Amino acid sequence: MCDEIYGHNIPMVDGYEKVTGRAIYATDVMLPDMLYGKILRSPYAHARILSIDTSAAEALPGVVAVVTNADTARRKFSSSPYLDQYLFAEDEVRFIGDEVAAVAATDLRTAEEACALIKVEYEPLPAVFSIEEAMQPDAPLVHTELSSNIAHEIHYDRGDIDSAWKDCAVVVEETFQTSSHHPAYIEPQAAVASVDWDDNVEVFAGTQCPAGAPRERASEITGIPISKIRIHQTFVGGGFGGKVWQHIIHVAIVLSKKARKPVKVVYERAEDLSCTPPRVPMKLTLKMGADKEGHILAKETLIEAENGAYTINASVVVDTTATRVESLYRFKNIRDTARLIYTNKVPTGTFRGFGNPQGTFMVECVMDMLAEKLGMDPTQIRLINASQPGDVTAHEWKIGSCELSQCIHKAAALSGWEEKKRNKRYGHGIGMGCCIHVNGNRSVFPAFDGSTATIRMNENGKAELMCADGDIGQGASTVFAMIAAKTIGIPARDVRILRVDSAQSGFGFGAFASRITLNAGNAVLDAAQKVHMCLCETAAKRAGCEVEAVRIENGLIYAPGGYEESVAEVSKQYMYSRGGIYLKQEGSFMPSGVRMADKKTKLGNISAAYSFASHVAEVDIDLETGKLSVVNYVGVHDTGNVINPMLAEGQIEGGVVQGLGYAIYEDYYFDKDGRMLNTSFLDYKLPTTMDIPPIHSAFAQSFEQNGPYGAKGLGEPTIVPVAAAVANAIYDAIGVRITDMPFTPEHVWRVIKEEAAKKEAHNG
Amino acid sequence: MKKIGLYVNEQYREAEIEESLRLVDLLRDELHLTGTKLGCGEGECGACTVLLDGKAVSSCLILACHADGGHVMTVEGLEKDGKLHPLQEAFLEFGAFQCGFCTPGMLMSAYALLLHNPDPSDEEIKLALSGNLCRCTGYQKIIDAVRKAAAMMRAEQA
Repeated sequence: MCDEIYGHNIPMVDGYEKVTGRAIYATDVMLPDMLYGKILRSPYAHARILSIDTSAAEALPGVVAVVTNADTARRKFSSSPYLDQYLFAEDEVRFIGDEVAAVAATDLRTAEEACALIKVEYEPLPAVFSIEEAMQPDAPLVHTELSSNIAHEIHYDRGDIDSAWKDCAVVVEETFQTSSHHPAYIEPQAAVASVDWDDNVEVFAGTQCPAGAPRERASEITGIPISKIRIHQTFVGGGFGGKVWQHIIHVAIVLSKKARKPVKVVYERAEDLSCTPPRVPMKLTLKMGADKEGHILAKETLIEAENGAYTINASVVVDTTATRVESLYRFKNIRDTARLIYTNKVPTGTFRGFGNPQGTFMVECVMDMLAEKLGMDPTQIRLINASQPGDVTAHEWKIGSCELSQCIHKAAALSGWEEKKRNKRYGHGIGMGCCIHVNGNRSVFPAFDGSTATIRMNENGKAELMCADGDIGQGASTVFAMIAAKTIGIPARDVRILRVDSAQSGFGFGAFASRITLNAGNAVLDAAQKVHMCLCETAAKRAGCEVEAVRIENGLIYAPGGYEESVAEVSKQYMYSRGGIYLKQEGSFMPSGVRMADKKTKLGNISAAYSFASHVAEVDIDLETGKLSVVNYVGVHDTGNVINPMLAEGQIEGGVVQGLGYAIYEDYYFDKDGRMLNTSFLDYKLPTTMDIPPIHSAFAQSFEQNGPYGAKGLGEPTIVPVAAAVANAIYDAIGVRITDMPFTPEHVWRVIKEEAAKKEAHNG
Repeated sequence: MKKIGLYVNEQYREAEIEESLRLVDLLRDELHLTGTKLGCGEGECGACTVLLDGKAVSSCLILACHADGGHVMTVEGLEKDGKLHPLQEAFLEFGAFQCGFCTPGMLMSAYALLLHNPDPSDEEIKLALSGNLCRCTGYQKIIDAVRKAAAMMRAEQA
């Protein structure tokens, strides 16, 4: 499957800029006469706004604009169907950090000073800080106009679960709790907006969606027509789902519209951690049964997820938590209820995996629990139930390429599974977690879920490529350059990737849902095929031969009869012969056989392909302190044909370490008033160089018919099974099922003590 | 306001600054050397790491005045005469970055390590980079790259 280009470790095409400090990120953008913006946020978790007086702030020298929601089109918005939030709070504030007003001034210090001068009169209201509090019959309502704190609820059945229970030889039921987990990109959110006298908007932002939803949203919020809103994607200092939905862009636009000068807004780290969405924390109860051969016969799930104060996109996340993992195995009889519940805390949302890590944690732990009851090896129960190529799953997902079984075998072999299971010692354990993930998620946008790309051939034979989905640092540009180069017949170094400018690009949803390699890659492939065909046609005319006889290789065009010309010459002649119009082609991709999942039933094939993985974690536990050390880690992925193994390995290593952060270190802590306590990297602990195990990445032999050159997406599946693999390894090590994340030393120590006390009571 | 003079990447620079100005702001906002990144402003992420008189420091925790008369080296100073530093070469070769935002700080911490310890063990590399957060790579390729760069530099010296 691998040929002269594919399977090559070419360095990132934008690597030079990154290692020399030349790459310009949103935080680096400076425009002439630029102002600095600062947001005034709510000090209350829930309060009614009685009045806002901005006069003192406006009078402060250096202040150019003060804005409140009155300076917007005053429309509620959301990326979900639940429109429950204004850009700035109008009537009520609903979490500590809710946006109330903003200031633009000649320098940041003046803007901060002006924020302190805005007088807001609040009437504090009762608040709820947990799912349990929010679900009490007499609980205060987060949104008083609603009848309960339930923001969203789904319920669906598949097969005949009631009779399936009767055939089960073993049944396990367990409840799990996942934590809040912030994307914690190292570049905080930032945006520079410049709105001219005629409302023409230019935005420079490190957004994951430069040519998609933010333009539409900005238009809704400001009332400025979408045709006037132009977004430039700067280099993006990490996204991971956290830069899909960015109020900061809209705040910068509203400030600049009032000031008629460029305005830069950059979040402080504490602001970013406490006021932008973390991964949705959930309480998940799973009951699952199998026959004595290990076939899973029934699965029943109750999910209660914490929305925070507003529904940004947690409703789609919670649907994903329920449904996605149900196509990992050949589940037939399913009953699910999932609820999303408002609290007076920071709105939760998307982070790498989009709800799948939570659901996978639950299912993969229970798979091990069932295996133990059946006296089976954890790998065996997974192999018996694994989805296979050609399967149509319980949700009508059409599984194309699927090497889940191969991933499981390979992960077991690479981790020394059998040998380690044979030579067990207390305190040391090994555990597995598997996952399925999408390549684009048709559950989000009703219209379509495709991609676009444009390629222009210059007169020197070099290509310029702009893909509307952009690059957020994961290496998309390199993959685009490799696909385009191979298809056109030029070296990859002759493809220059242009960063997205929404005024020049096609429409593009952006980089999320592991959609880029397959969807954007196919759009690049389409554009490149068109360019290739134009070059062949032009060359055929010049050589006087049939188009089919022309071939292009490494920048040179050959035809029978000794014809040989460079791509440069033919590109130039193509342009001259058309009065100066460059050879420029637009490509697009619309995945076929994919449809919007039904709103109610959740049935429908939402992705053109599915990626799979099997991970194995090996842990050592210090029984005195509870300190958990991951000593070895194996991640095997079915990502189709691997285009650039070095970049693909980087995805696995990075995803695994983020997953270890989720499993072991990271969580949010709040005081009794709902104020987040750990708002710095000192207290919100990210994994460092000192915390990482050796990570062995490997790939299944696989080829996806719907993927460009057989490739599939990889970004998110790398994080999805990590917490489950670690939890299963902990059980293997100490015989205690840890159900609540994160597995901090204190937490592990406590479960060891509780288990010992239980045993003592039992023996005594 | 205070007038200061310092060497930045071996060039003498003068600036008239407020005494409260941080070194990171002097570099980024006054001298327009935006290669040095600002990730937290609290000395926790390491993105703003530069060398001050041969030592790796968080430029967000140091006042620009304190660098008066000193020698500062930033990521922009690594490339010499159009030739990348071995650390930059190795970062490219090993794919030791993704988004690239932590990379300048990571490179400067590694540079400071190799300045004093040309043949570090993996543990020493990890320790030297433990104050530099990266959310993309999982660090493994960064450690590989620093090890390789050290070997390249030793070979150049020999």
